[in-house]
Amino acid sequence: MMRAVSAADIAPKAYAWEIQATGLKVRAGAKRMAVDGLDLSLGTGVHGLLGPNGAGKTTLIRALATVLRPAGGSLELLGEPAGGTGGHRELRRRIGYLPQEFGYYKRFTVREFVEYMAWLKEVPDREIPGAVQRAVERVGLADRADSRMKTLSGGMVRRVGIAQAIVNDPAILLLDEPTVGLDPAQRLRFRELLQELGSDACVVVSTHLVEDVAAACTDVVLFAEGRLRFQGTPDGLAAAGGPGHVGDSPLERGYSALLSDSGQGRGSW
Amino acid sequence: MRWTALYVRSRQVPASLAAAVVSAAAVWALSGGGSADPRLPALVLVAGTAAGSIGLGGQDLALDRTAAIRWAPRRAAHTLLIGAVAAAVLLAVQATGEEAATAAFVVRDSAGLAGLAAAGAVLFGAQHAWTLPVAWPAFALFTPPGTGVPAQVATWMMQPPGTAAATWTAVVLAGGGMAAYTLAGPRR
Repeated sequence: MMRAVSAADIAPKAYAWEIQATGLKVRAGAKRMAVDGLDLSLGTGVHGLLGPNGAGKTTLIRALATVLRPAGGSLELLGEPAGGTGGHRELRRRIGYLPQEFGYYKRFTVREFVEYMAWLKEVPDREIPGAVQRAVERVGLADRADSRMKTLSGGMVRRVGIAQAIVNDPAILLLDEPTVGLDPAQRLRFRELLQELGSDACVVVSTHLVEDVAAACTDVVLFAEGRLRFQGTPDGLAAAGGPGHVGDSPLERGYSALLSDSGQGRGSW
Repeated sequence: MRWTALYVRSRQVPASLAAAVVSAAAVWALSGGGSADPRLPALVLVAGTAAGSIGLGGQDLALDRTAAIRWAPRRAAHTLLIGAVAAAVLLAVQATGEEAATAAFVVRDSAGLAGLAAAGAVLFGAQHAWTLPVAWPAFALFTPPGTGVPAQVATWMMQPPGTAAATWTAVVLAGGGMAAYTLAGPRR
């Protein structure tokens, strides 16, 4: 389906980075500071967010999605300060977010669910049917578009989650563990989709599968204990590791090399 | 409109409407077509607002929170609608028999109970929002009858219409509950 080019599509960007965090602090729960003084600048491309369990990846993504309000520092999304008391309506129209697990009304069909999410994102009414169809096709669920959500397998629900995140053609797309529950063939297809999306949007994918990063990401962000450990290309991550580090591939050795300073990644769970 | 239909379904309005109608009909049938006891219409309104309160939260609070639409007016409208539907169900049921509750009584009780349901959603989340509009009347049933202001406040939903303390309690609950829910939304 052809899509008209709107003024917003061709307007020059007024910001250098889609996501820019300076000294960002975000609380998880009442006490723990899960993101603690993060400096990060992310532009167009696919950014793999790597880190051990409990590193604060989910908390960071929730803050980027404007679900959590930062406790300190500054966060600018698409050039607009996020985290104030305002509604961020303009900003939220241009963000797509897939939570690690999401709730849905089980009697909705796939199409109805994605339509509902498009409405929440204020996609103009007349564009909704086309946008929904395109999103559902991109995740390979066109043949199940009229099946009810409760009849889908876990991997399919995950793909519906990806469809709702991309239905508004977001400028910032945040995917929290999107490959969990996908089989190997779906995972390959998903990596292609990521590369497509990353050509004109800022895509942040959190994962703990190092091979996802190697295959689909233009940029790696290694995150541990609420702070940035490394940011660079997948090759740069591989170069950090030596033969003495734990891991079965150059990327895994680089990952454990960069985390081993803090005593994590080596021996400990 | 299309989105209204999707919103209504995702908030399980058809199911709670059915529950409200069935419980109202059951109470009315058991009471033998209406009596002068104010506890019966109050019970019907409690059932109606409690059933409606399930829909005060969405299926995924994080996704709802990232929505670009303006939630505040929709939350206020939803609260008003719960009260209005509970009142309409009661009036429809009692139209079949002897009239037990006056319009003033129905308006006062449905507004106060809808406010309690909204406050319940803010405090405990939509799943448990029913606890407040159920707990207060349950507590009121066991309050020793009295004519003082504290007793009138405690049993506001069973007082005859025109009791100042009861009316004011309902006004405070309706206004406070609706304002809190409109501004804060369901508990995360």
